[in-house]
Amino acid sequence: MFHFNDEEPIYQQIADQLMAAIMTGSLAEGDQVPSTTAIAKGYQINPATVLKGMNQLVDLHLIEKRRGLGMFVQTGAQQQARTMRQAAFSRDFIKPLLQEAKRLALTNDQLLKLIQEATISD
Amino acid sequence: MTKLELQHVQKHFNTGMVLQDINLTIDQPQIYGLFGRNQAGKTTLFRLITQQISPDSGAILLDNQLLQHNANRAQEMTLSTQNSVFAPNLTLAEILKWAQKFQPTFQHNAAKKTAIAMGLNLNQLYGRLSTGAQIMFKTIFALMTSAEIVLLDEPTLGLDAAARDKIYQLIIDNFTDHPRSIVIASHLIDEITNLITQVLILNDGVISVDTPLDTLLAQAYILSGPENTVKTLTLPDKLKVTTLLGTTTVLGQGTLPKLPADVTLKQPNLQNLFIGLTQPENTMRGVTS
Repeated sequence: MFHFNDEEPIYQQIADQLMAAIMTGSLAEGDQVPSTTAIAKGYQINPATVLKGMNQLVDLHLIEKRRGLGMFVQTGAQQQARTMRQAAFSRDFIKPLLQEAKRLALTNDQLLKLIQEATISD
Repeated sequence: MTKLELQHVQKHFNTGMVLQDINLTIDQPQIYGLFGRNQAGKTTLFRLITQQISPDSGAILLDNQLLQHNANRAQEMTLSTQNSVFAPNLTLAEILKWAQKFQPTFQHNAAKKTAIAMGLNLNQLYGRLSTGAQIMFKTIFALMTSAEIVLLDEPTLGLDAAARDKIYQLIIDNFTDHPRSIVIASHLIDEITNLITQVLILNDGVISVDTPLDTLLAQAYILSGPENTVKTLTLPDKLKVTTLLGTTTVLGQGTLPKLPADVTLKQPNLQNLFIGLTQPENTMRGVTS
């Protein structure tokens, strides 16, 4: 499940990847989230760091803690995760795309054409 | 939780190596990473804590009591380092049996199982082991004690990548099951970043950094952009500035002003930050400011 990069805090990457799993449904609503212990041992990450990542999702109401049982994906979490990812889409993908296009001196029309071509060939 | 405190600890050596003024508290169940350049005094610090040597001045306290008056509490701390040796003419099995006799809480069976799982032969004489295998055994031994504070000095020295991975796994498994204070001194910063939550940097004879990993990294920045743009920016606490092919990259710490669109910002990794923090300026390459 986890592929780590060098550019973001590890707890953030854990939160992001759990969120991605919820969005795609590989962690379905009502499913139990792998335990902090299992993720810590499985990926050689300090359990406090794993917990910090999970708590981000608890704060976003994507997962909830059931006392004595563990963490579970909340009802409605999939749609919510998608909405949040969509909100971040411009910042994470469109803006860097426009920046690179500017450096390449591509006009908006050229850019739109490239996007259309890529959509067709996809 | 046992509280270990070092207050104004000073230690000089004829070799010139020196601990100037060490102030440090270890009292949380977490994994601390202790980093320092060669000769910074990491091993000396560990040997002071475990009373193998005495400080010139300053105090080392365990739960607010001077350590030298509490020899009976020595078992609350354990150290694995290059020079802590077991009798070379004993087999690993004999050493583990002996440990159980002296420390009833020593996890004898788990130690045996772990040593075998890591490829060690319990019937071999300790003195016949390779340097790497000796370090592996010492690390297993330290982690199988019930010490509240475990000090691991270069637990992967001389080990290949696969063996290092096993050691990291052992540390995380052990800590997850039995949270306590573990201090790891290592030069392989990238490899242990994910294991730790608290960063200690020993530099110029003092603990210059004692900060949660996330906080330390969140305060640090690497930005890069066109030389002419970056030149105009007022940046806090610059540690390293490199200009190459018209692009300037700055590593630093602090709160940044709003950046122009053609300047990209990243969070440095711990290793890069460590280099910036401990590399004397006059030896830096490519410095332009």
